[in-house]
Formats: sequence, C-alpha cells, structure tokens
Amino acid sequence: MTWSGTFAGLKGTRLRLAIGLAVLLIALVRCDFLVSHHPAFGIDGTPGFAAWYGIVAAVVAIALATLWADIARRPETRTEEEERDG
Amino acid sequence: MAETLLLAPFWPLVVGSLAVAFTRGALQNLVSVAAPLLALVLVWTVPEGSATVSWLGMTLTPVAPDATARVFGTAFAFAAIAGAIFALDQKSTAERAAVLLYAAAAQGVVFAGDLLTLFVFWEVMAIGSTLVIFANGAARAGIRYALMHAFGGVLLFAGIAASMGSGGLALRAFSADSTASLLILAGVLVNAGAPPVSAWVADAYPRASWSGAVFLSAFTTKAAVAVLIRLFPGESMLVPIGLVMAVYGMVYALIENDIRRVLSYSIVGQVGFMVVAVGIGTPLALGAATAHAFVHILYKSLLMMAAGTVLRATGTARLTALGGLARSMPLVTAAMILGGLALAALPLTAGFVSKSAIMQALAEDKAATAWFLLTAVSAGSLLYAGLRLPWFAMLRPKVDPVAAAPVPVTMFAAMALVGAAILAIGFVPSLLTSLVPAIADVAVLTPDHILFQIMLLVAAAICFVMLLAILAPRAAITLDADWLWRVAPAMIGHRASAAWRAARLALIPASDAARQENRLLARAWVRMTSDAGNWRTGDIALAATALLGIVLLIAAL
Repeated sequence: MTWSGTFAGLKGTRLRLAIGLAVLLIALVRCDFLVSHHPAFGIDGTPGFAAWYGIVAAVVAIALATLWADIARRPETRTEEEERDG
Repeated sequence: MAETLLLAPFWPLVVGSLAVAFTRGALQNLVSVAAPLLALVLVWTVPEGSATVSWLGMTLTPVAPDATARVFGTAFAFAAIAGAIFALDQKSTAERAAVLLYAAAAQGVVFAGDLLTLFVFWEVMAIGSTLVIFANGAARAGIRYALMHAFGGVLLFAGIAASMGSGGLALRAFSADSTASLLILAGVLVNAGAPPVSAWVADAYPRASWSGAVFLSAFTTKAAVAVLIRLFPGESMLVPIGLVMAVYGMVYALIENDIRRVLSYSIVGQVGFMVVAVGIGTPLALGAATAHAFVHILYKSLLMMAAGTVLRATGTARLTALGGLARSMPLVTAAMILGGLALAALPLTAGFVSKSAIMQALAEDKAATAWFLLTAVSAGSLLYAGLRLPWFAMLRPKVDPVAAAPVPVTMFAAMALVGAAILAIGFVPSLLTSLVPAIADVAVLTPDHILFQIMLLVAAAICFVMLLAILAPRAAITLDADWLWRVAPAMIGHRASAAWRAARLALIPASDAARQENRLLARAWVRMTSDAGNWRTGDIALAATALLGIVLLIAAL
C-alpha cells in the first residue's frame, strides 16, 4: 500500500476526529503529570508513557496484521462463501 | 456425602437437555431457561466436601465443590441462562438440547474431583459442542471439530493413564517434566486453542447457528483454563504459549472479514491472557485468570449475541457486506460497542477490572516481557473489537445497506442482561472481587490506572482513525496452521501421484493397451487421493479405532 493509500480519505470528519482525539490525548498526558504513579518497571511510571506506547503498539499491531495479510490472505472461493453464509 | 453428589450443578442441565428434546413450545422454552437457573442455584448451594464413588476398583470423586469451581460454575450458568433467553426463538430442538448437555458437561469439568471424572465430562463437552455445530447443518466443520477434540481427548487420556502410577486419579498440580504430564498439558491446551492447533476455534464457531455460537464461545476454552488452573498452576511453559496466543489472536482478528471469525480469533487472544496468568502461578495471578475467564464469558457472549442478531437479521456476518445498520439496529450497535470496549478494558467496564488484575499480577512478578506485550495487545484489541467491528458492521455510512429483518425481543433482553452485568462489575468491582477474593487488593478505579488505560485506548483510536483504509475488510480468508493438515496432504498427495504416474509411464515400456491401462489406473489413483477430504463412515471409524489404539500403546508404554 502506498503512502497516500495508507492515509486514504483522511479529510473532513475523519481528519477532525483525528485532531480532536490528538487534543484529548495531549490533555490526558498533561493530567498524567498530576497523578502519582506506581511503576513496576520504571518506564511505565513516566508521565505520558501509555500515550506513546499506545501509539507504537497500535501501529505495530496494524503493521503486523498487514504484513501477515499480504502473506496468508487469499480470495474466498464461492464454495467457502456459501458454506460460511449457509 | 451423597448430598453433594445429588446436588451437583450438572444434574438439572442433564435432565433439562433430555426434557427439551421431548417437549415443544412454551414448556420447552420454560425448561431451557429453568435448567441453567437451577444449576446456578446449585453452584452456590451444593455443600462443601467431596462425594466418592467406587467404580471398577477405582475411587472416583464426581463432585468436589471449591471456590474456583463455584466461580467458573457461576459464569457458565449465567452464560447458559442468557444464551437460553437469546435462543428462545431457536427452532432447532437438537441445538437446544445439545447446548444444555454442553453446559452440563462444562459444569461437570469444573466441579470434577478426580482426573477420570474430569476426562468423562471433557469428552461429553466435546460431544455436546459438536452436536451444536451439527445442529446447524455444518457437517464437515462438525467432523473437523470432533476430530480435533478426539485428538485432544486422546492426549489427555493417555496422560491420565500414564500418570496414574505416580499419584492415582487425584486432581493435583503437575509440572511439565514427564511424558505423562506433557500429554495432559497438550490435551488441555488443544481445548484452550493454543498454537499450533488454534485454528479449530475460528473454523468451527462461525459454522454454528446465530444462537449456537453464543454457547460455544463460553464453555470449551474457559473450561480448559479452569483445568489449567487446577493442574498446571505456575507452569512457566504457559507464559510464552499464552503470549503467542495473545498476539496470534490479535493479528488474525485485525484482518478477518467474518464477524464471528474475528470474535473466534479474539477468544484465542483473550484466553492467551489467562494462560499467561496461570503460568505466572501466584495466588493473585490465578485469581486474575479466574476473574478474566468470568468477565471474558460475559463480554464475548454479548459480542456473539450482537453478531448472531446481525446474522439472523441480515443473513450475513461478513463485514464487506454490512455497514449502515446503526439506524435500523441501534440496540445491537450499542451492544457491540459495549462488548468491544469491555474486551479492550475500558474503565467502568468489567474488562478493566479483570485485566487490571492480570497486569498487576505480572507487575508484582516482575514479568516485564509479558507485561509490555499484553499491554500492547490491549491497545490492539481496541482496534479490532472496540472500533473495527462496530465501525465496519454498523456505523460506517452506506448508501444501500442490507435489509435488516425484525428479531424477537427476547434476543435484546438477553443482550441487556449481559450488558448490565458488564457495566455492574465495571462500576462496582467488588461484585467480582467478592467472588474472587484473591484479586480483592488490586487497584482498579484509581486515577493513575484509569488515566493509563484511557491514554492507551485514545492513542490506539487515533491510529485507527488515521489508518482506517488499511483496516478495511476484504472479501478473503486468511490461511492458518490448519492448512498443514487440511490442504497440504491432499496437495502433496496429488503432486506425488502425478509424479509417480509420469515415472511409471516413462520407465515401463509396454504395448499401447498396457499404457492405456496404466493411465486409467493412475488417474483413478490421483482422483482417490485428491478426494481424501471426503471420508467415508468406515474410514472415520477406522481412524477412531487407530486413535484408540495409539492411546492403548502410549498407556502401555
């Protein structure tokens, strides 16, 4: 998938939603500076850790799924389709 | 303690299964709901203590109530009640009888007090669940499912037989350091959906009816988790196995097209969380695994109900064919969103309570790899369950959405019942922690935990919105490990036969008549080997006999 294809249709409502969520995330990170943390591994107690880790995790998950789909996905045959819907 | 045996929770379900088979109409409806209700009452009233029975020189303990059995029994009975209400309009008497037998066996597994009783209920559970799939006319999928469970049963029985010398039939904690215990572990992991045999879950469950899949999603894999808690607490091998399950389930759920296949892969992923916790093995981790199994049964039932309602109303559960249904099915949309958000552990849902317990158990055990990986999978689970499913199935605008036929109000009642339970536990975590005291000290609704989880999910949601085009469903299926035994043998056989035929023709000089005969024989051989997927009844019986022979051989060794 091309770079433009990756972000296909990112305009209008979708773009506004992405910006709104980003603003919300920034606000949450600011709040995270105000609460006391109980880290188990050090880094997980740093303010905003869940924000950047969530982005990295989601991107990696999507990349893994896309990669595996390229390798293992194949068109559904008519028989499989009928068996599935039947 | 005959009272314990007489008041075992599986009895009303066994009797109910028989009664449903011979009744019709309102009486059948009444029995199908009353039986699991009575089972729920018995889960909590069956007295402590174990009832023993002598059989063939062995002392069996068919019922041994303890805290773990009661928690799993409660979840199973609740799922059976909600499922029975959901299925009140199900016309197949065979399915309605089968699901009660299946539910009875699940109760039997978690209340079993010895290995042989456990095995017997294990096999009845396989029979009941296979009948649920057969009841929808999915004979080939049912046979594949039955064969996989027969394989798991063989491993389990061989392990039990081999372990009798060192501890009899007593339920006890094993460590995977002998052939016997490894066989038992492998047999249990087949039912848990562990790799490399995870594919049976996504192969079989979507082939059940709109109501049957609700029951299938609740019992088999969670009963396997209960058995792992009893037999392999703290088995370190389970941690990597569970982590692979969690990642595998997430990856497949992100790319599948059929809603119920997505949910089936999601079952494997979420059971992976439980398997990891069992592998950690501390009291908190085992309590967390129990709590997560309980909660998972709730939100997966709700999601399967929503998927079943869509299937029943529209005739399809494929995301590529769906969309634009939110207006015509607002309650189902709400149920799907709630179930998805609970799976993703949104605060104030039950999923947040149980996943907090698992993460705290990992943190206290300093299991860094597992903690970071499962946190990442939590973010990924929002992508497929909380966003991808509801968006592409219900919410996305569609000019010409598929027509949605009206569905009975009882289906909504069942979803409301399960949804209320998810929210009740989410708002009042003590409802769950009172059932599982081991997780009572877990910090759930604290500012840092809530903020952490919301940040994680909002971050994942941003990625979803940005990368929506990549996650769009495609009319395709994704190959899984079952390709190795479903497709590869036939393919290899076909090619080997073709090569053999060519070699014969090249090597054997003969008259034209002999060559012609060779060609006909070779074609018949290729046809026979290519069609090996369609087994005759006699061949299946032979395979079953061979499996039993292998059991005897292993036991003898």
